[in-house]
Amino acid sequence: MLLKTEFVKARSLEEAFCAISDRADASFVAGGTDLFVQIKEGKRKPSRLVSVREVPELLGIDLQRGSVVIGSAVPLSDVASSAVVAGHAPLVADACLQIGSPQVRNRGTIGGNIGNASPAGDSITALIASGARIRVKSLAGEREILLEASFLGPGKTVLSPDELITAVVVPVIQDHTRVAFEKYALRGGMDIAIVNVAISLDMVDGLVTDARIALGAVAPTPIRAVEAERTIRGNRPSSSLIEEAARVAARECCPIDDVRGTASYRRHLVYVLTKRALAKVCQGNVGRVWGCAR
Amino acid sequence: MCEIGSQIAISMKVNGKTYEVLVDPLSPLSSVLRDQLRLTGTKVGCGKGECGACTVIMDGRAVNSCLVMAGDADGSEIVTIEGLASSGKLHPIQEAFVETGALQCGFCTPGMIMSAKALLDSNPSPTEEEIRRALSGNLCRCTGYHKIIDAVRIASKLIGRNTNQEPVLRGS
Ligand SMILES: Cc1cc2nc3c(=O)[nH]c(=O)nc-3n(C[C@H](O)[C@H](O)[C@H](O)COP(=O)(O)OP(=O)(O)OC[C@H]3O[C@@H](n4cnc5c(N)ncnc54)[C@H](O)[C@@H]3O)c2cc1C
Ligand code: FES
Ligand code: FES
Repeated sequence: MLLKTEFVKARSLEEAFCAISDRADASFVAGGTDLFVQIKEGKRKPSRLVSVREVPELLGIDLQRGSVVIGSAVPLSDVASSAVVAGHAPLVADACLQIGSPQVRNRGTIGGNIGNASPAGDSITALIASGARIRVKSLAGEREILLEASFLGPGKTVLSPDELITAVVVPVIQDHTRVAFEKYALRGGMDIAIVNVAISLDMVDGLVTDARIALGAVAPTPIRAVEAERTIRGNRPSSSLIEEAARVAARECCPIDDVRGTASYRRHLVYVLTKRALAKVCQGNVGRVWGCAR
Repeated sequence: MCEIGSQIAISMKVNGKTYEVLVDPLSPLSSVLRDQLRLTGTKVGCGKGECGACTVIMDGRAVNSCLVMAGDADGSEIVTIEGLASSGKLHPIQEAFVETGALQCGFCTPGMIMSAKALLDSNPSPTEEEIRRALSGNLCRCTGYHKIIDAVRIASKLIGRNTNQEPVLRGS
C-alpha cells in the first residue's frame, strides 16, 4: 500500500469536475504513466486522484472547421495510428509514435503528455510547431489557450488544478507546409529525449513564407527557436541557409547539464537535429514531401 | 465500484474468470495479480514502466501492469501469461520460445511473450522491424534478443499454420 490517496473514476465531465473541486490537493490522472510513477517515488502526494481516461467527451479524434481535434484522454498509440491525424497533422502522429514503448503509448495520453509539462515532452514540441491550442474546462467555464503559452517551467502550466484539458486543437496541415520531427535519446524505443526538434515550414514557389521551429529539453519549457525561424523566413532554402539557421538555433537555446546530457552536448544536438530536420523538409521543392521518418 | 474504508471493491476478468477483489485503489495491478490473485507468472522488475517484465494484456492491449492503478483496472479484461496455455497445451508463442531457446534466466519471458501476443493478435505476420518495435518496451539482460526475435517469427508461422488448418479440422 502506497499512501491513503482516494481514487475516483469519473464517467462524465460533471463527475470529474465535482470530484476535483470538493477536495483540496486533488489531481486529475489519465494514463498515470507520469503521475503514478511520481507518486510511487514520493514526489507527489495528491489527496485524491480523479481518473478521466474513461470520460467519453475526452476520447474522440475529429476534423472540425480546419482543425484536427484530439480528445485529451486519447492514448498516444491511437493518436499515432489515427488516419485522421496521419493525414492532417502528420508531425503530431510521428512524435507520438516516438514516445516510450508500445505499453507506455497504450496507457499514456496526449493530455497527460501536456499536463505533465516536461520540457522534453515529445508530443508538445510537435504540437507547438503545428500551432496547436488546448481547450481547457472547469466549473468556472471554458477557454482555449495557445499551447506554447501554456508552460511556466518544468511540471508547471498556467492551468489551475481544477482545470481539465479537454482537447488538443491542431490546425490542418496545408498543401504547401512541410514538417519533420527529430528526437535523440539513448534507448531508441523508449527513452526521454535528450533533445527533440519539430519543424514546420510553409514553402511557396521555393520560398519559405513561414517557419516554426520548436525545441524540447533545452530550456525550462519547450521553446520556439524564434531567431532561427527569422533566419530562414522569407528566404530560398540552401545548404548555407540551413547551416546558418541550425547554428542560430543552437545559440538561442539555453540547456542545462543533467543525467541525460551536458548543456554543451545538448546545444550540439540542437545544431545537428535542426540541420537534419531542415534538410529533410527542404529537399525537393515540388509536391508534398513530409519530412517524417516512417 | 463501492468504497469500503480506504479499500475499494473492483471487478475484473482475468484469463476468462471474473474476480471481485478488495484492493487499495493505488496498489499497482501487478501487485493485485501476484499477491492477491496469486498469479505470480507476471514479474515485476523496475516498477516504473521501463523493463516490461510486468506486461499483461488489458482490454486487448499490452500494458505495464506496474503502472496501472488497481482502481483503474475495475471493469477491465486482463490476460496474463497464465492465460495462454490451454488444456495442458502450450500456446504457440510459448512453444516457439522453448524450441528456440529464447530464454536464459526467464525473468523477462512472461512479459516478452505477452508483448509478442499483443503483436500477433493484431498483426499475425509481422516483419522483423515490427517485431523489434513491438518488443521495444521489454528488456532482457541475458539473451541478446536474437533468439527472442526468432521465436516470435516462428510463433507467427506456427499460428498461421494452425489458422490455415482450422477449416480442415472443423470439417473433419
Ligand atoms: C517508461 C516510460 C517511458 C516514457 N517515454 C516518454 C517519451 O519518450 N517521451 C515523452 O514525452 N514521455 C515519455 N514518458 C512519459 C509519459 O508516458 C507521457 O508523458 C504520457 O503522455 C503521460 O500521459 P498519462 O496519460 O499517462 O499522464 P498522467 O500520468 O495521467 O498525468 C500526467 C500529468 O498530467 C495531468 N493531466 C493528465 N490528463 C490531464 C488533462 N486532461 N487535463 C489536465 N491535466 C491532465 C495529471 O494531473 C498529471 O499531473 C514515458 C513514461 C514512461 C513510464
Ligand atoms: S516492472 Fe513494470 S515495467 Fe518494469
Ligand atoms: S532471459 Fe534473463 S532477462 Fe531475459
